[in-house]
Amino acid sequence: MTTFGFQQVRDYAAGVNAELDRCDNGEGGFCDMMDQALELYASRCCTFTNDVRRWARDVFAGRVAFDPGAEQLWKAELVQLYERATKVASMGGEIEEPCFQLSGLNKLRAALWGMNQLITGWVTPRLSVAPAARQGFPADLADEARRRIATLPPLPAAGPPPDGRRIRAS
Amino acid sequence: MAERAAPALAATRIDCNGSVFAEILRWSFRETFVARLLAEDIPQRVAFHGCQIMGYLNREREIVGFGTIEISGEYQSLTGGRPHPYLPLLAVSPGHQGKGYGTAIVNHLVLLASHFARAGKCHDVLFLDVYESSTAAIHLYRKCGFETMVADPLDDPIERKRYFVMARRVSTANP
Repeated sequence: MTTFGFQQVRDYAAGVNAELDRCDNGEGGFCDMMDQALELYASRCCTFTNDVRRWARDVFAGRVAFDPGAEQLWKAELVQLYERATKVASMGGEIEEPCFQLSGLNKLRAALWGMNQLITGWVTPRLSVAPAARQGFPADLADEARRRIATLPPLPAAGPPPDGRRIRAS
Repeated sequence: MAERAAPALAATRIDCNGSVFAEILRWSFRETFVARLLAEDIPQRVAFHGCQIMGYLNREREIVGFGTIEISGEYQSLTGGRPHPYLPLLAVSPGHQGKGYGTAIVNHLVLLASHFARAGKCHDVLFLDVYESSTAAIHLYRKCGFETMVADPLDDPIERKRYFVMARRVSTANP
């Protein structure tokens, strides 16, 4: 089992930060560059958030060993990137009206929302209690399962199960 | 004998950091692994897998049960590599068992899975797993149309239990 360790997280975060530094120091027409910056920040924030989630899912499934140092660094880098990107989004918000639309701004705001969810509801990953994530389905029994799946009947054409309809959204 | 009418429930989304989840965590489940799944697995599934927790309220606005659902890849070896709906955990409050709430909750989750599949978000086979010792739950899932994927239960060497993988189709038949 491989470990996604402290050093790997540090190298990865350093690469993202270096790329954003180059973006921050770029030249060109201000609004054009601002939109490009927003797009880049949105993309990197999404990727970073997804990578944190993927690492956590790997720990949950037992594909990587949990490393508390790596967790602390992931969290610290996530917060730092969130704060950095929030400033860029704020600048984008200030200039959006005179420049009409900055297409990257909504993307960045959506990415920041996802980051904020992850930061504020942080959960330390650990190995799954339930077997599904840890084991998947045994390969030697998959053919039998596929045959059974092929014969599973659909829901009735009349619609969902009758008592399912009795539950309403609160 | 006429079948008992299903109870009317209201569904509401639950947040892991909210008071409703905290209340559910205090329930005294007959099987201890339910409490462990709820406390350990579900917050991770919400944070990292996009899992949703639904709470179910009766007419008196009491939480009588909960269910969880996500679009997962755990059994995608059986779905041609496509993500599929999955029910990590559901339970009825120990004080409200035997009133038909379990059936209502499962069928509501089937309905949600059906919406996901119809929207093209995932395969149309809904999976769950259940420990062999949970005979009442197995009976409930069979009643709701779930079938076991293999005849014999699978081994979980870490928990030292045996479990069934069960599934049902959630797309509707062509009229």
